[in-house]
Amino acid sequence: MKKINLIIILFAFISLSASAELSINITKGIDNPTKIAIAPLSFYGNQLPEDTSRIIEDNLKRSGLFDPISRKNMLSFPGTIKDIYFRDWKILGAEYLVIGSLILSGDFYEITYSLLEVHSSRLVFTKIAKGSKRQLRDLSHHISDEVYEAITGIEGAFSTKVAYVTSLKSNNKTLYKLMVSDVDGARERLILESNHPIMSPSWSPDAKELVYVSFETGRPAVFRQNLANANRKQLTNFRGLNGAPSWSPDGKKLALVLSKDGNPEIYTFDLRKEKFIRHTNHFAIDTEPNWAPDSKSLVFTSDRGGSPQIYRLTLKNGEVQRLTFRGSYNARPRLASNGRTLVMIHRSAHQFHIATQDLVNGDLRILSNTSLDESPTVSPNSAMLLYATKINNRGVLAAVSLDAGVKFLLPSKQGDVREPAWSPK
Amino acid sequence: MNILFFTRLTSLILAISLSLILHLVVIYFLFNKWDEGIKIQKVSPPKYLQAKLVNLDEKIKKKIQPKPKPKPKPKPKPKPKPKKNNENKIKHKILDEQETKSLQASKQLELENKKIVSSYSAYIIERIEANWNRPPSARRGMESKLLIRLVPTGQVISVKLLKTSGNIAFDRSAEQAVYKVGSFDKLQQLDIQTFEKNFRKLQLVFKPNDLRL
Amino acid sequence: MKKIYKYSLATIVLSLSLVGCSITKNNSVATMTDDRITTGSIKNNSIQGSTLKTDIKVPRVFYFEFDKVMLSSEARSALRLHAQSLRSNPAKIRLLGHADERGSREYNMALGENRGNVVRDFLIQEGVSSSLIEVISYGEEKAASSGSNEDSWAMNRRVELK
Repeated sequence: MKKINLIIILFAFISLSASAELSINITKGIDNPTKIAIAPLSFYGNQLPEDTSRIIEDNLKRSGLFDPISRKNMLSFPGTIKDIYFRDWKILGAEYLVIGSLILSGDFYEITYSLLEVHSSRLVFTKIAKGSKRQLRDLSHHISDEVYEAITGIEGAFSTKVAYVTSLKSNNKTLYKLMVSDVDGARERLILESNHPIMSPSWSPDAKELVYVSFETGRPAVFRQNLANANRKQLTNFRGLNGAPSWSPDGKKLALVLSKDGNPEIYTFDLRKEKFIRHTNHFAIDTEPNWAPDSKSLVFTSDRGGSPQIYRLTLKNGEVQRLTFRGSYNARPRLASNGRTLVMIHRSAHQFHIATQDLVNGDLRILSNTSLDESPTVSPNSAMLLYATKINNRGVLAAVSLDAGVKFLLPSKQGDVREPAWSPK
Repeated sequence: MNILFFTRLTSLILAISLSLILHLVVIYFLFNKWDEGIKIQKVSPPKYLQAKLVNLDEKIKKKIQPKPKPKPKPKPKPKPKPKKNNENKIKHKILDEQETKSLQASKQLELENKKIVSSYSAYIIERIEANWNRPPSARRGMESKLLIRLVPTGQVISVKLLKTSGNIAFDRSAEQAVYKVGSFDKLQQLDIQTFEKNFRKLQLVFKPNDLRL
Repeated sequence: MKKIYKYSLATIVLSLSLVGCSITKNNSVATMTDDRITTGSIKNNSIQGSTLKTDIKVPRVFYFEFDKVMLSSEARSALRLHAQSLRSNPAKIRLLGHADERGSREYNMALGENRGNVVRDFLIQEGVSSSLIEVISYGEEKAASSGSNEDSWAMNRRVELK
């Protein structure tokens, strides 16, 4: 009797478990910034020149996607995995934990760091990064990139740079400077200083050179400068406009605006052959060209329709297609590296805002809440955007994340800051 | 590198042997301690004694149909009353009445059961959605399937990725949502049978319909 | 028996070597690259001064309304006097076009040039030789007034004759 019951119930269990489990659909989320704890780097010896963990916290926070746990709330500072007591971090509400330890290896710093999931106690990765003593900031940015990518699925852009122009007026004279700094504003370096305006910096795809417009010869001209050795070369010398240079992603050409033929038109300049080709042929203003990621088309501003709007020019056949239809002023286009997000200056109700238009589904979103916005530039991972605006009568740079909508102002510097250009790497 | 390699190997061997031991223990209990198991089946909350057992039998009956095994045999054990009836005609009448009553009762209970399951499912959905942090690389159309195991206290004891969305960050965010909830406490209020049937092991399909991109 | 031995040994060795591969991957070290930046320098260019002979009291700055490229009547009278002076005493002049700060910088360069062109065309109409005139736009780069209000903006929408 018992044996038969045993068999029956065994079959019952088997068939019951063989039947499909309950399946529940989860269709919504909350998308709050991820709470992450960056434990202070552990190391022996003297104070380090930089607070690595703080730099990582600031980077992640600025991206708008992370909410770092405050160091003063931390209950322990583990340096290695075996020192981690996960409950200390669960209590703080942390979802992820980054720990690291630094050793001096000859003239180099070597940081071994790990990313862990707090709730599941799982190790996501352990990696090692090495750099000279001067490169501690670079190491911090590199670790930020790795952590960012593992959690968001997007490549980090914390190791990139930004070029921008500053102007400072004193005694009726204005001093203009072209600068390059880390994306967080640190390590400002002077590229060029002039008594005449500098405009429109644009990076080479290898991030080693800049092209820009300088008025040093008495009229606007496009110059090329190598950042490492400061070699400069004047590339244009026409009357009229010589402006808005944009370096193609394949590195071979510049797109720019010249009005030498009577009115502003879009040209390309072959850097090797040093030849100009004209691409537009309309009596209206055609300016501000910017390359698509595949180097096959340009987006540009034109008022051929009566007021400034954004158009796309296919280089192969010269076809021009209008892209913007909402509002009476859309200018200064930038195509994000994802190929589908068009960033621009958009005027609505007499205010100039930075807006994005999705070229696939047509969505238009106004991103900034400041009102004299200009010169948007997109990060190479299409996640963030820097632009220039005016606050309290001073030119400042602001940043906004393309998805999270988080906004913040960059630390203010002397004089007016404008025309940011994000390096491609 | 060698040291790391060997420690990995030893921990691998440890893990395998531990797993083997645990499996053997389970099998031992499954076969030798069977009587206790059956007894536990019998001891259900008194108010459900009649109906629930009828339900079980019905369900077992339905499931066992493809397998040609003696059907009425499990009945006599949990149902002592009908056995005592000896007069055939009266017995049949009463049995018929009882059967239609119990059939109605069981159908009603099935409906109630479904309601209960869907209300606890809604609770699970609510808890997870309140904790699901999608990465910016998430896109419409992505879908991750997780298999999770719970215990009657509501605690999550394992999370397994059954089907990837193709995006590691998306998969991870789904797993993290479950880990963050940690325990579906309200399931403690659920009766053990419904829990065992529906919530001991269940699938979660993460497929967002509220993403902009 | 020997075959089984061989196969099992092979699988063990293979799986062990695979484990070995994953360890090397985790241990690859990322090394930072150096980036040097040097400051560039500009050759000193002196821009020639104006040799325009018109009376200094005649206005040399002409203002424009927002989004308009029309010359005011005051501008026209002033320009006629300049044209007269240039016909009798030809001198190379520069027309510096400007725009107010609103909107995009390079588009404003084009607006500044448009305004400069309007003045140039008027002078040519008045008989001045085109070879004497160069239009240079400064867009919003050289604001005359730094405020962000209608008055400042009106001061910046101008062409300067130099």
